[in-house]
Amino acid sequence: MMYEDVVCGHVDSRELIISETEFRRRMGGTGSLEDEISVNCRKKLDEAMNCRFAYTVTGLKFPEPGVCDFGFAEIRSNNLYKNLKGCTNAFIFAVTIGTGVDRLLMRLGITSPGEHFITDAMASAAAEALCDYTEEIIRNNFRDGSDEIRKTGYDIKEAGSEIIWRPRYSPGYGDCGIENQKIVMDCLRGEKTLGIVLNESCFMTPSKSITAIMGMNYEKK
Amino acid sequence: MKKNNRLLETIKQKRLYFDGGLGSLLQGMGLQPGERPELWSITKPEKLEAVHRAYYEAGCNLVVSNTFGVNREKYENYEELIEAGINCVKAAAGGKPDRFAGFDMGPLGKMLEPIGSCSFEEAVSIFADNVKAAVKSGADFIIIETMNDAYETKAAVVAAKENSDLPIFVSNAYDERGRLMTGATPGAMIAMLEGLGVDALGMNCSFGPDKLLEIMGEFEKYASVPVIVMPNAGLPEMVNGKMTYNIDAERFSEYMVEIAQKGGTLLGGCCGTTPEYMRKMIEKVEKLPYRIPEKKNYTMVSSYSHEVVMGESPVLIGERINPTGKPKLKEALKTNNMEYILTEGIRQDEAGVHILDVNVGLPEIDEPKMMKDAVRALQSVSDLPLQIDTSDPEAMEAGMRIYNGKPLVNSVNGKSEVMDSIFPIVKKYGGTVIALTIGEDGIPDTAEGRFNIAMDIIKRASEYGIDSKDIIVDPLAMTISSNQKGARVALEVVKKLSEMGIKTSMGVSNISFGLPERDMINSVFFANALERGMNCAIMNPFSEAMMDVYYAFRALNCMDENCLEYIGYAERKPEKSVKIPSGAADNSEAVSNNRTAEDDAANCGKSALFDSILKGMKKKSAEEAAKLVNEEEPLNIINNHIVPSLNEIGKAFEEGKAYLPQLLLSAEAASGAFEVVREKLPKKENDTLQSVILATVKGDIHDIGKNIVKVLLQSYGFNVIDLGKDVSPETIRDKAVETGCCVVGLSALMTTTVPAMKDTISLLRKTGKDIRVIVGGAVLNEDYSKLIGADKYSPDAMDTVRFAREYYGN
Repeated sequence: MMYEDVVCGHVDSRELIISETEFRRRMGGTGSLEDEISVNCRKKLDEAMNCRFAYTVTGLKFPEPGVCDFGFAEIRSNNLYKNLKGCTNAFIFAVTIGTGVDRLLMRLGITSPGEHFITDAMASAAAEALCDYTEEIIRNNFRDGSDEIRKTGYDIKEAGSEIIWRPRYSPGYGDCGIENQKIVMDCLRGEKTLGIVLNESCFMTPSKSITAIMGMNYEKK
Repeated sequence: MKKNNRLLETIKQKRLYFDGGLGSLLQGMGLQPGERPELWSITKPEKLEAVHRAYYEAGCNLVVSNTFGVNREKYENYEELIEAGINCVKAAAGGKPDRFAGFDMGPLGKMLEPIGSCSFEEAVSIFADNVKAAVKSGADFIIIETMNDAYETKAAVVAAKENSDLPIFVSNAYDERGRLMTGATPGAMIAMLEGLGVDALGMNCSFGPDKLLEIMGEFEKYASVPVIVMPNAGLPEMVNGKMTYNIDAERFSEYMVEIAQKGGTLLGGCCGTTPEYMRKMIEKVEKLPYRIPEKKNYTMVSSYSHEVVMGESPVLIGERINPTGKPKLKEALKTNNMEYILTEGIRQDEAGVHILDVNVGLPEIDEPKMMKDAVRALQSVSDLPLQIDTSDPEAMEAGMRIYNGKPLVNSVNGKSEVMDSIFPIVKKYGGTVIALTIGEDGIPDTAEGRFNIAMDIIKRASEYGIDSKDIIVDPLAMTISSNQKGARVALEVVKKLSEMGIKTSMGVSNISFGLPERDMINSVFFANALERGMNCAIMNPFSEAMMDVYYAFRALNCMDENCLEYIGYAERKPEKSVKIPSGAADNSEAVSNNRTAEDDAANCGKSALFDSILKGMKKKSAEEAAKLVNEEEPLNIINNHIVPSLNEIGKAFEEGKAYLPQLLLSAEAASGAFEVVREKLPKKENDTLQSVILATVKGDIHDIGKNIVKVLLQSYGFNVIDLGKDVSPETIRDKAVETGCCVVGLSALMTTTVPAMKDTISLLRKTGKDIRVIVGGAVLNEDYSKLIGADKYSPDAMDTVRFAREYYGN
């Protein structure tokens, strides 16, 4: 049975904790969120961001090696299969920091390529932070023994079991084709819940958006 | 035809109700997850008819077709689906009076430009095909719903207006912030949609009635047409594996009573609501007295994000995008240098104007096309409303059509012929128009004469269905150097119109034409006009004297609570330092880096300009360059200070001692200095700037790498022709042929878009010109670049600079 609806929500951009490490990684190993120019860029970014998330939980089967069946669609990918194998359920989720950031980046592209570069790196790190935030919400809402897990109607809870979470995985990485974004967007009704649309190459707009699939399994304590 | 429409006449007399949700009911009837509900119009029409009938029987009058996701992009048989969907509603209505069948039109599933790749005209065309099919199928009205983008909403309305006489209702989906997902406030949507002439507007989906009630205040304040409210049945919750909504029919109906009392006119439901919800709602709301919204008198314009209301506080309209007396802008227009225009727009935005004037009229350019390009480009980098300023009706229509929001239009005047050409355009696309007090015999010398022309224009506008609130009179500031009474006459007209509640505006700077120290005259005149009630001023926001007046006037007239904005302005007042060119705001020092004391010591003896560039200090670099131009030849400054400094940071970057952001900030600083020096270069050197075409190839939207290359090339003095991202091979070829530029840089990030790069190179080769193509991007390497026929693979931006310098023999 499929968890028929999508849970979505809004996060105050100022609540996002952007990782210094993630930011520096995207800056090519330089800079700091504390730099004066970074602080200015963060202010502009905060004003531009509209942070939203949406997630749903599905059943998960593996009809053959390399194939993950989510109940409403299948994805063929050995990498994803390896990641999810053994899981009973998958959480499919997506986040976006909104079109305002794309507009801000266009503007900075005209006024200051330096700020553009820094803000672009910061925005990517912010989208990752939003993804972490959403993952945390999911883990909290569906923690062992919570009512939420029962509400899904899945017959997966056994006394004394605990939840094992797999690392999140995104279409477009490894052998999991980017065209699978369509499956993710359809199931999350991404246009309505997040304002995300896909172009012909399956790139997302707003550009600072991330999708992910995360496996969940129960193990006896 | 629409004037006497039975539905619209009925709405004036009595309250009508929309239906509720459809999806969850169809799921209850067996619609499977992933199954497309639109197909049921053909495969299971009897079930749809049953749902529609249940809504009619619950008391709803406005039942809509099962066509939300139907369009030609998603369904080849869209016409058949639309016809079948509307037929289901009509069959359920059974021909009874007060039962109307609506054609439901939802979002396209595409993002419009500039954020997405779908053009406005493509969106209009897709919606138009839907509307034509709906008209053919006999729909009674069109409901455009659950739209979360202002521009897409406008495209749907334009398509509906151009292809039908049916009543047009529009309902948008607002988010937690009370805005559309792409940023528009209810006020901005009301301004735009009422300007376009829709018959009802409002909101649906997203939340339950409790949340929508919070947004109702905006609709109550600004809307003059019936207000639609169709909430969800609260938020979805899972209970024992079943989805339910957290507001039941009883509570829903209680909230809807409150919404009706706050001005909700056409009520209904969205996700999770059922005929039972509607029955209960109608039962309660029907007992309330009915009234349609009264006409509001706000003079408003809007952008894609917010509205600007005239009359509450003076509105500043930035005058700098107008080629009159501005040789640099003229040159930019002739060479299609959109970046210059955008920079002017952003600078004025940052200086505090509320609206940007856009005048791109030059005899030698295609003004309608340029107006369209300028409006589109400015709206991609600024959220300010625009004033479309042209005397060419064709350019005005081109600009108004693609404008995202409700524009200000400059201008119409009292000549009959002009009014007949301008008013139909203003009526069709919805704008607020500046009315110049010029009559058939020119500009009257007296205040009375100008006042009379203003009245004539307002009267004539009303014959075209344009309300007086959408006319802003400009009594014309005529220079006092030729007629000293010019100022007093204009001020007298402002005062008289203001007393009547008619909005006024002037091009303030004209008052001093021909006189020295113009700011002195302009600012006093500006203060006088504000004191007499002038609402808007077309002015130069870079004039300190003018901005002084603006902030002081607001502080003195209780428009600035606790004088906070005045204090903020006073604290950041521009320093009177060396004059530097546009866009040279300081980046402070570059990002923290790995530079050592030894590095700094090594620079001892180098010039201050060299050092400023090295440290990425944009403003200081421009200032230092401005000092040096009085002492050294321009070419020497470039060769002895700017380029060596860039070379030094470039070398440090290549050796891993400096990082990309530092390189970029230095490049920006160098560009700022280069701009200063360029002004002093003899004309010949200026004309022979060496050019490079850059583009991110078709299908690819990643442009940061390309932008990095661009800024570095510019900092070395190259003229970069930046074609942007997602650029077709044909466009790149055409630009190379048109400009004669023989260095083309192409960028691609994804493997899926590299074939487009190959196609582009192939097209460039076919031109027969000796064009050198350099390629870069995450997925490329030396071998791959050879495979697709490129001349050079560039692993980083500095390498591209080197290639270009070698090609041009620098």
